[in-house]
Amino acid sequence: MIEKELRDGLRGAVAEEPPLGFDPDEAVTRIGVKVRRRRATFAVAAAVVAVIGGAVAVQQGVGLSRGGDVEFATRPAPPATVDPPTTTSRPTTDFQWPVPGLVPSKRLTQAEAEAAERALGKAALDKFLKQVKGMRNVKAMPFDAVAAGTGDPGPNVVEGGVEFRDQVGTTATFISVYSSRFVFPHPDRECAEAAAGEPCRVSKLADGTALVVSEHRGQRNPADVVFSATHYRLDGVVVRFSAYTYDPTGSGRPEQPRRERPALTEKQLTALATDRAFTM
Amino acid sequence: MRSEDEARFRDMARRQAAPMRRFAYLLCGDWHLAEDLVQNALTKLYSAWWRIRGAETIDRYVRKTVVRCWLDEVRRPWRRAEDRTGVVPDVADHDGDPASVGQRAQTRDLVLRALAEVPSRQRAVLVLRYFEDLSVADTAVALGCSEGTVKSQSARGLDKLRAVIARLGLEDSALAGGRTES
Repeated sequence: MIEKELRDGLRGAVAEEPPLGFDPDEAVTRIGVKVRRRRATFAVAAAVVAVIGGAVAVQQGVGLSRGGDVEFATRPAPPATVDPPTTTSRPTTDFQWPVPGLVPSKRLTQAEAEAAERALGKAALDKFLKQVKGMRNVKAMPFDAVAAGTGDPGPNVVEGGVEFRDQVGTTATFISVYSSRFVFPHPDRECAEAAAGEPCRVSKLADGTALVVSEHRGQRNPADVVFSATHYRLDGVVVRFSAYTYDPTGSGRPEQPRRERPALTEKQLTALATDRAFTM
Repeated sequence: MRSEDEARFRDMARRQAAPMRRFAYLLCGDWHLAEDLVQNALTKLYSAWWRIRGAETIDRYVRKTVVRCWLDEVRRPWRRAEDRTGVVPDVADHDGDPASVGQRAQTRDLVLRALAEVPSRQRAVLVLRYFEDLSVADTAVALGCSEGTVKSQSARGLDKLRAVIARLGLEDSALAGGRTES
């Protein structure tokens, strides 16, 4: 039976492990220093914000008492020159995130989580077939409700995908739907953390939501491109669709052919990510 | 962290480092990445130690943290391409019987190569269920998902293992004819 062979195989695989490559004692010491330093940095940052906030409040109070005019103690510096925006610039938006005053959704029960998995699986297939034409062997991949991050026992994200075949071969689009319980980073931060040279664009949509369109290149193979559209909604839900130049399903081989561009276009990814059928 | 808490954390790290790395290795299939995962998990545990230090189920927290570190790792879009070839390093086996040595080595290599192609979450379920011998309920707690999801992921993972083994041309292996545990 495969269960017994699997147990034996797993135990055998770690039976002759190499010696530990780090000293746990040293690691704990290093971790302690790192955590304390990080906490100190946060404390300093919070203090700086508090001081700046206080200074601004005082300045506004003084300005109002003088009829709104604020005198400079010295000549103001000339405005700094601003580099022209490029395709890889990191524009900021006035999008407020987390949405002010938003109460995170309640934790899903097991039955609700399983219902969300089924609903998203069905929506994924329906919407994909509507938005993306000409693909073969289109089938929904399993959707699973899981916990992401460390602050919430979850489930706070449902992930799955749609597998399909284009003229190059099999590939897929992966879908992540984050509930408002998951603390998703601000869209500007999402782009700020992108590697240098990787396109990442934040835009505020007409309905007040925000969209991030980004592209990541593989570190081992730059021909591996992940192209994503991430939609930040006013109910706190975040939906991400990703398309690939390769087969991300786990069944692809390293020598598989790569597409010149990811299998879905920006327009298709955006239409899917902003579709309200994808929610939880 | 107070000195007595730090001493307890240090003691836990000494005891758990090797088991954590074994567990992480079965998830990721790479001893170096496994060590990174263990150190990430220790960092997270250190930050949360004030909350879990009195818990009787520290082992569960430790496993849960390693699994979450691994899932966080694979959740990053640029980590999704798991182009791992499933190459298994040669290791010595000191058992005297060449037949049983060969059989064990074959089973181990086959399982590792097949496991490398199982999607990450299914792999986590299989390792928790069949290496850590966790119940369905405990696996669900460790993964933060429902028991139904654990059962379905386990069944899919086993099916995927069979499919990979079949693709590897080893249908005649004892592994290929099993049935799924319900």
